[in-house]
Amino acid sequence: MSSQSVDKATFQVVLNLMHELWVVKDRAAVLEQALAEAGVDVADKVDRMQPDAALTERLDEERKAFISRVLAPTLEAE
Amino acid sequence: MEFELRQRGRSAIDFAADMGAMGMKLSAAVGAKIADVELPEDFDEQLEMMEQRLGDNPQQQFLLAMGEWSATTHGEITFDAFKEIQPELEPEFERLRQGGTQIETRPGYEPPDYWVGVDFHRTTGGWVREHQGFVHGELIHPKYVAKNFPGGIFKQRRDVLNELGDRKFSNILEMGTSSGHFTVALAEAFPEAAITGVEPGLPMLEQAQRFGNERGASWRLIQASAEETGLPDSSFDLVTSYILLHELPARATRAVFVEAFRLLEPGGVVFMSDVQPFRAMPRIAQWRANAGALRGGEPYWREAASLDLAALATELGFEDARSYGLGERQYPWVTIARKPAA
Repeated sequence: MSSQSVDKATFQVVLNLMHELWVVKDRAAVLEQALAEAGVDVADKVDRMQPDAALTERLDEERKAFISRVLAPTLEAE
Repeated sequence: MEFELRQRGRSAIDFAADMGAMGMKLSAAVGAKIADVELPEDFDEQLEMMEQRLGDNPQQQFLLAMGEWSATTHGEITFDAFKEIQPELEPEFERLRQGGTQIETRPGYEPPDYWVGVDFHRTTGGWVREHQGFVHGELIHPKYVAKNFPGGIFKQRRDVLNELGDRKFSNILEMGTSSGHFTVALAEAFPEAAITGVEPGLPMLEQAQRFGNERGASWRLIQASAEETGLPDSSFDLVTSYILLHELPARATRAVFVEAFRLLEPGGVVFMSDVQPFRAMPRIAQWRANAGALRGGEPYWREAASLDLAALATELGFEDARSYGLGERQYPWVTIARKPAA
């Protein structure tokens, strides 16, 4: 594989991630607005919430899996 | 210090730390491809040969890209996390300025020329950026570096002090105090000792002061260079540092040992912990260390790791000088020597 093809692959990964991330950002903003209209100021609550042990463990596992999944092509690249 | 990060800061730091773990997996994959390589002795030739060998390798390119991302973003990610909670930290900062640990600054102090303008570890602003002490001492070290550091960065600071044996010290000088993590270890190991710390970076000393006052300690912290402390002759029985010397050019390290000799009372001990020297490494590890230092904001690593500190200490008049690595990884590398008794 030439360095040019790696650059293309990398850019594809970046675009894929931007796409997924924007959908999530959009959804979070809409969710906060919807909850605010229902009288729940969840934005500040989320900002200040400290995950308990169970949530911390879940986030740790999901984050590691997320990173491994997204970057799997780098470990498989030849 | 008690504080709670906001969701964005917490999540971003956790992500960056786990990217470090992913980088290690990728590094192992690259390592498997070069296990058979025979490198030349010369460091520049090592870099050139590996560039030829790995230049087009996609895993190496991804590894370099991830390394670049980590090097250039970890400082900003942690600073952003700090800024989210800065308003509520300010009263704590004010509270922890009060107490027995105080900072002395000296009019006209000029930090060393090799230190000014260097962004060590590629963190923007290096060790003089305002609030870098908090960011380094409370966020980068415990929440980012420690997660991927075999053995634990805090345990190592306590464990190295076992090398000093049973001797009790009463007047300790720490050179390169930074944000005070090793100072805490020294205070735990020698609770009766008077501790003085010198460090050029005022924001770093401010964090060390917080650690000191949080513990009710009375450390004397001075904004000064290790090689020119301005402190009196023969005023300490232990002069020590932890992970300072690889951030100094060789000429400064020599000056640091000269200063340590001057500051120690007869029979006093110099005890420095730092990176493994190249002579103790296989060539593949030499290449990794050099390549990592070039990319990681470590401008003096190569000359520091080329020194023989025990030989240097002996040349400068110390006796019983010895250098060796600790544990399986031979890290940190400690150097112990004694100033001759009068």
